[in-house]
Amino acid sequence: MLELRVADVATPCAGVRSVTLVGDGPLPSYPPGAHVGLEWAPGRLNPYSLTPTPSPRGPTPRDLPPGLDPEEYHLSIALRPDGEGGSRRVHALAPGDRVRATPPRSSFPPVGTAAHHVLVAGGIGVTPVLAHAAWHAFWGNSFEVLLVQRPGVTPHAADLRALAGDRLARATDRTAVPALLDEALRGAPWNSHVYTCGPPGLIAAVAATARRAHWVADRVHAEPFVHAPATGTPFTAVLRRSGREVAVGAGESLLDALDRAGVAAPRLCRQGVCGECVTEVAAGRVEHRDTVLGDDERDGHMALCVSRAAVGETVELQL
Amino acid sequence: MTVPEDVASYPFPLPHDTYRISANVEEAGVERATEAGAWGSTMLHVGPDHAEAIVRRRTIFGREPRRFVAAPHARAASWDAMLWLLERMARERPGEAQLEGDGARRRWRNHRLGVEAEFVVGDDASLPEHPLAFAAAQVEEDVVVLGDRGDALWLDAGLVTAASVWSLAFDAGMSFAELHRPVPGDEARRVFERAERFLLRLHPGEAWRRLNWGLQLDDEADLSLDAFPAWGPRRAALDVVDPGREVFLRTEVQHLVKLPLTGSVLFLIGVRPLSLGRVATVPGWAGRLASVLETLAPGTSAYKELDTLGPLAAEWLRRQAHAPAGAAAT
Amino acid sequence: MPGPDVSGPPPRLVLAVGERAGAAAAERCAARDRVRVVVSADDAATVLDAELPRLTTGWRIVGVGTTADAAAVRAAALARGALGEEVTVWPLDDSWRVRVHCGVCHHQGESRRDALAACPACGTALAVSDQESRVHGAVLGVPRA
Repeated sequence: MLELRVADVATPCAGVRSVTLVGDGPLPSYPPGAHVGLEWAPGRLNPYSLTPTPSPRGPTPRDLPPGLDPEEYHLSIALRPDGEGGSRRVHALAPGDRVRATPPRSSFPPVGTAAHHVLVAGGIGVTPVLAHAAWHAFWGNSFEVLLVQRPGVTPHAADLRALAGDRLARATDRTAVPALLDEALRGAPWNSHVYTCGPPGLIAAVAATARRAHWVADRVHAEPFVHAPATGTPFTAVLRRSGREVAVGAGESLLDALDRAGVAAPRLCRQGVCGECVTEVAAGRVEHRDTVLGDDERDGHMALCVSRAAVGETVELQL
Repeated sequence: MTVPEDVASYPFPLPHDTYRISANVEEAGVERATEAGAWGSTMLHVGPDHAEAIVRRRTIFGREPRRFVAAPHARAASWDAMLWLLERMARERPGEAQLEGDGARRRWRNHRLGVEAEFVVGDDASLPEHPLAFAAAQVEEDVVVLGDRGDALWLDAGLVTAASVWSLAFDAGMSFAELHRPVPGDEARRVFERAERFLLRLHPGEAWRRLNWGLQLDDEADLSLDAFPAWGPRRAALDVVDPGREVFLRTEVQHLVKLPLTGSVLFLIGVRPLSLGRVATVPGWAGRLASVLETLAPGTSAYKELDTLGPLAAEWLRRQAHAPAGAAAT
Repeated sequence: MPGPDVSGPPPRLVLAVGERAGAAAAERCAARDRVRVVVSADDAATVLDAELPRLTTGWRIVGVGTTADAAAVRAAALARGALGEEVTVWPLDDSWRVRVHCGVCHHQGESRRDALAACPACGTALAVSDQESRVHGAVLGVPRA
């Protein structure tokens, strides 16, 4: 874990807090679209995207690759009053406060072979998209940005404009989104990739538009910032080490149920992507919903955050 | 009796009396004790013949430019690899190499090789050659950059002058699965599938290592397909007179680094040949190598091209164990 | 090129090597497909460089010709950023001739599968292996002493 100090806080727009974190000297480099897991309560981490260092000349100095040997980490976090508490804790941070975070994790990188990158951002999803845009601007890659914005609530809109110039298109009205996506994706040059960060509805709309324009799935990338609930049929998990039984309700994930029972389990993305919560399964068939385990690894392991026992099964975990 | 340096620092690769292909990865940079000494506290090897090794690979690369490949899309990853290698060298050998400057302009000094260069990060024109070729000229290890995309790794760039029966120019552009297609059997294939998943899941900046091994004639590290005319006929003829001097254990110290800026994987291969005569000076090593060679699965033996050389080496090692003390010294 | 017509299957750029391949392509193609016929597989790269900037993402590429020629078209498409799923080949023969990449001098020539051949450039005896490089559109010729 990195021991960091809050150097500055700002409110770029209503409901969003930007936080500048520093360490002792340069911090670990990170790829575009990377996040850190910020510890908001002991053992509880939330992933937040790293955005490029702002500067008077734009969001990043053009003379150094974004993400290389940063002096500071910049995060912008939307307040979720009904969330578990992570965003409320971040919004309460003040300069001088100490926080702990994982080193950068990469889950949403650009595809280097693309001839053109279409970046789609909705709401606070602008944060990794900003990092992608800064990266492409530095390396001279072809890109465009589609920003779905409700007036007044998108941070970094000015930063994006500074980076992307006339390569930025905006929809401020929900009804304008389909046409914006359609035009961009049907007209995208050969060998484009599209990257979306935003609410599930926007991600689904981009995927559907791309599919209609005959894009193959490997060209469509997304990072959801609202966790899809890992719900399903209730089941029981037996913890081998303690012999305890934990009942998992229909409306919660196995990880939620373990939290409720006070059982410590590692986790980070809570989307079945990062692999942090992968746990050994001693018995019971699993309905796998993650995207991290290979077929041979699924035999005997599960991602606690999204996967569940198969209907009618009990899973026994090495926990 | 003092143990000679090449033996004392040798990364002997066989911890058990039997061997099967496995991922066998462990954390990089951690010192590991052996019966003869220790190795592994650094990731970049600098041995007594460091300068010769560097000149040797320069000569090969100068003569055969196809020992270097770099896809145009590997530009950022190549800079990432270069900065990682120079920083690593400076950190491990602060008296011999320095990388200064924290902005875009950096100055590299490698006193051991007499290299001084100033460059601008990301500006290809500020270097005398491709960033990956520049970095590869500062280290003994072969370097390969694997891009991470579409849930797979792809050979995007590299400078390799000591391949063991493969060719970088042919393998360029292949996926990790395609690269390892010649491995023997389903079990070995699954090992490489797991290895790829492991590499894809590493976090930026993490570094791991593994050892690979084989036997070869003479101590020439370049057993690439490209150089086949130089070593192939001799290997086929197998006219070995003195196995203690002519047969070498070839250990490859492989490092796997998830590069911090791009998430590409930097694969470093350091080749360490050690004559059987030297191996025999450490009785534990000689015994284990002989035992491994005697019990190798047929598929693995064929894959490593040990069907003839293996029994020959094992027999010689067994004979040394019964020979009078001092007979094995070379 | 206009954006793809979203109502039907993906539009295709069909690259046929040789007259016979051109005829086969014409027979199998729909009106929406673009068919280009080249004389030699070596021309595939040039044609793709001219065609691809006019296409949008969503187009597929088809290589038509002998097994070796179709593989060469696929290789040229992959080298220009096509994903495996976007490229198909329609081989005209039953694949007993392949392009062989010499492991020593990297010359490419054609040979029978599972055969021993001499590299026409450097003369090394090669065993035609089954290790295939899709980006070279060739299998490895392993040198033999």
